[in-house]
Amino acid sequence: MIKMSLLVRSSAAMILMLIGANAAMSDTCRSELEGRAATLLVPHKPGGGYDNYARAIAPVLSDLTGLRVRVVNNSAGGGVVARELMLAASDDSLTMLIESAGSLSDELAQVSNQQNLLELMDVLGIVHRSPHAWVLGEGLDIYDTSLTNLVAARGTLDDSHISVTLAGMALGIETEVVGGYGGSSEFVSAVLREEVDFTTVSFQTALRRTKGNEAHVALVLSDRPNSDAPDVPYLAGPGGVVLTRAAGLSDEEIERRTQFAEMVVTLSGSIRGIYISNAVSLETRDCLRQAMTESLLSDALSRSLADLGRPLDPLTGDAAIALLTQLIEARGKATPLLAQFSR
Amino acid sequence: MDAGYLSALHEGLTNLFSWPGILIPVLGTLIAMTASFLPGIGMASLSAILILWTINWQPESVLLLFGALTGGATFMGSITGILFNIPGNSSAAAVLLDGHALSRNGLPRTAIAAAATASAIGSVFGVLVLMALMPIVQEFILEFGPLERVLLGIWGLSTIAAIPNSSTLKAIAVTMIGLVLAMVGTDPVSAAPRWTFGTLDLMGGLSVIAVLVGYFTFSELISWQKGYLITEKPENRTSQDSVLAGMRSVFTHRWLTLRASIIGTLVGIIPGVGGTVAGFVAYGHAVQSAKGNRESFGKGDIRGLIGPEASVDAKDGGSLLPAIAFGLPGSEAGVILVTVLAIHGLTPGTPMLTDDLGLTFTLIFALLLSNFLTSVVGVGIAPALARLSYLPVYKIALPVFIASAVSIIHINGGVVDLFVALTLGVFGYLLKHFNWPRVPLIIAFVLGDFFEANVMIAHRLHSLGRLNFFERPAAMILTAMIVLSILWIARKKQTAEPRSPLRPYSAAFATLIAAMGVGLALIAFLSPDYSIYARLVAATCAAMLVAIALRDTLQPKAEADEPLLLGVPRVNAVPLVLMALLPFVIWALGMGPSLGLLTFAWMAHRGVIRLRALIRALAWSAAVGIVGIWYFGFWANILLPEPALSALWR
Repeated sequence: MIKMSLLVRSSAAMILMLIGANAAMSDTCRSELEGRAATLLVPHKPGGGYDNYARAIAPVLSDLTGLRVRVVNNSAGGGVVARELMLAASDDSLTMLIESAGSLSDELAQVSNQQNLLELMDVLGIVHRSPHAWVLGEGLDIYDTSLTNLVAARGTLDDSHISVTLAGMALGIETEVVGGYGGSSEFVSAVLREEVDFTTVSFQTALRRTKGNEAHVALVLSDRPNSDAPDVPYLAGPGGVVLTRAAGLSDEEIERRTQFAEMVVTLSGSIRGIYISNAVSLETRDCLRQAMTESLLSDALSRSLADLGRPLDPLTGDAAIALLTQLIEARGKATPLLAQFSR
Repeated sequence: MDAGYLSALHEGLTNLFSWPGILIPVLGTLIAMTASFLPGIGMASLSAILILWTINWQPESVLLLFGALTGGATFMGSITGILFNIPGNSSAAAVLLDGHALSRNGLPRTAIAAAATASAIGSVFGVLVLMALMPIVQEFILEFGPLERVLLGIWGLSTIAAIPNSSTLKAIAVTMIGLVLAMVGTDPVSAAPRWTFGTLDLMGGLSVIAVLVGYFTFSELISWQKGYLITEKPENRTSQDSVLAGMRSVFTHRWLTLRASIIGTLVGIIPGVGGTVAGFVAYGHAVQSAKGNRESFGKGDIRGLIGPEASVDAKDGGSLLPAIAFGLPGSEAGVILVTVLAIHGLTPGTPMLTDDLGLTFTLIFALLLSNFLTSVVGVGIAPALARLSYLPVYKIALPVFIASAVSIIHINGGVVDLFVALTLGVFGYLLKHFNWPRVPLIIAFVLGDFFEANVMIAHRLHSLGRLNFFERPAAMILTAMIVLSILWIARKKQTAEPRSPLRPYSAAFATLIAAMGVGLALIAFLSPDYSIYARLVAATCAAMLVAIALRDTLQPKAEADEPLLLGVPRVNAVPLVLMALLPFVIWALGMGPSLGLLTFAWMAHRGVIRLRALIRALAWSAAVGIVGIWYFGFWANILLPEPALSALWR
């Protein structure tokens, strides 16, 4: 089972992380990085979530390591150009990228049939993980079993297979997707105008985007309540919406829906990580990983992000690598099913 | 008007005029004006940095700053457009059509003063509407969905018909080319690549700024080379050129100013549409509603400046509404604002419209003040700035080219954008040279992206039974406006002038672009990834271009008495060759050395080989090169690819 495997391995990784948490940067690495210039690329326009994280991390990384880190936004090609710049970096130009693991993996699969992003780039640390969430219009209740057909607003159709189509199958809801909307604001606007019934965005974004209007975060695509909003129903596992809605159905159907729900939980989350090209030497990458670990676990960063209202949920070192490896394996297993939706 | 509303107004005014609080919007406005005037400093990046700097400020101070930043940026983008034909931001593109022509006609002070006055009136109007709509804003915004946006797009495109041109067929063909260019990148629904030719850099589409700067500024630079030898100066300052004349012209055309302000406010309220669309829709309306001779548009008609300027500034107020009313940003400024509100614990939506209405008015008044301030400063510095437009071409062409190249490179740090700009520059020049209409391409390009996405959404919603035209009053009003607009144009359509003989090589040019159009259409039809919309537009474009090529081949042409290089004297080819080579040199050597080399070659080629001239060229090129290396290597907020030749040193 994907989920069990993920839990066990994540726990092991967490232990590894805690062991390494107090390990400060070695003196060799400190002298290796001292005074050097580095770039943290943001593949989005200034002002949003990724930009906030990058601008909070950069000064902390600079203060702790002596690196001179600048933040550069480059949203060209929907983030593809920033990824290429990062991949083309060398030891001379320390270019890091902050991006969602899912987006990177999808881009690589589309552009170069490269499924395993870790063959091309290394993860220096994960800043935050956020599950996806369903935002429903006013008056719609996710527990209402008469809801069997819903229309969702999304950007591109390929982007909707997991969090809309597969999640809908887990809930026993037939979903239709209207693609072409431009970003989370537009998704939620479409829900407010009642031209669609729901949309999916990352949980943190959902909380922000529904703060000032009548749409509501109806479902978090995880297998447990989220600590930021414990009252929001969750998808999978005991107490989840899938099992509640499936009450009274055959065991076979419940098993099928449960499997879909577990796939959604594993695959749909947004994992914000910091990456660097494997073309950079292993020694330099290790030093940067140490520097990033120290920064992500520092009080200074946690204070800075708290001021910005952005949650910090760091995963460093081997734990970050392990989590990404699992995500990639799960994507590989789900590919045949997702390919059916594309047809 | 209830007591709560009045008390909130009072709170907003008190916050604005507190001491030293008033300094915040004043300084914010000056920062925004400087950043908008200088090439390469993006307002969005600057705002993102200021978010962090102001984390510990009081909410009212932060709102005073960000309101001022939003208002201060818009107008200064028009100044560079009027003076140098460089749009300082994409919203300013429509302003330069007649603004720069006025400047070249010897009326730079009039143009700047008219722009400043129209800007002030437009922005005040936008803010007043914003304040008036506050109690009903939520219901109002929800009226504008995909169907209304499609209709707004049609309205915008229909204004093209009002712009005078030599041939209706060519105007339609150029419009279609604009729509095709807007589709380069990825399909908005399927995300399949379209006409990217395997280039990753084109997957995000053609950069609007690269297209605008290329199409207007670079094509103008090419045109300048025609008169290079005689060191063509702009028209000497005429006796009519004065700040007062510019200000007066806005009041003379007060109804146009008002109508353009309404257009800008309306477009601003609709999330995601933006100032560029507001400017061009207002420009089209200015032409359409003009009394008397419309042939003067594009050649320096003050109405072609006042309309778009009032409109783009009026949209500032409206563009903040979705962010305040729903927490849903509809523009770049909106994204920044929503982030700022969240950081400072302010909740958009009902709280910002009730309990925190005083803070909302603080933001609005800061926006209003900054708009006023930019206009006052604009009028104040108009005489000084106007002097820049009297410089001869040989002194101004190189700085304009360098500033444009730097602005373009700043967008994404990619040389591809420079190639795009140069290609559009040559294309724009050739359209002008062969008397093809140019403005429709830009209107269609600017509208194309959002028009296509909303056509696809509206079509899908309709097929799912989620969209009913007769249940949408805003859609019905817009449809009525489109119909009235078309009837108005048809009624006022002037008798077409007899077609003049074509210039030499016209048929060759038409055949060349027809071949390219057919090639693009074939790509669309042979690949399974192109949508019906993409195929329809590409096929229509190709068919129009083929028809024009056939017609031009059969029509009589003027004698081929022009020098080669299509109007540019052969001896002036050097700057053009240098412009064409610049992207390759940047790719090989990087930005700093390339700009240095360009400066040397450009200055040194000017005829007489004299030691003094060579030394001056060397000194300037060294200065430009050093500043370029320092700026792009250590200071600029962009990441350029490694120069290709640097691999040789390793």
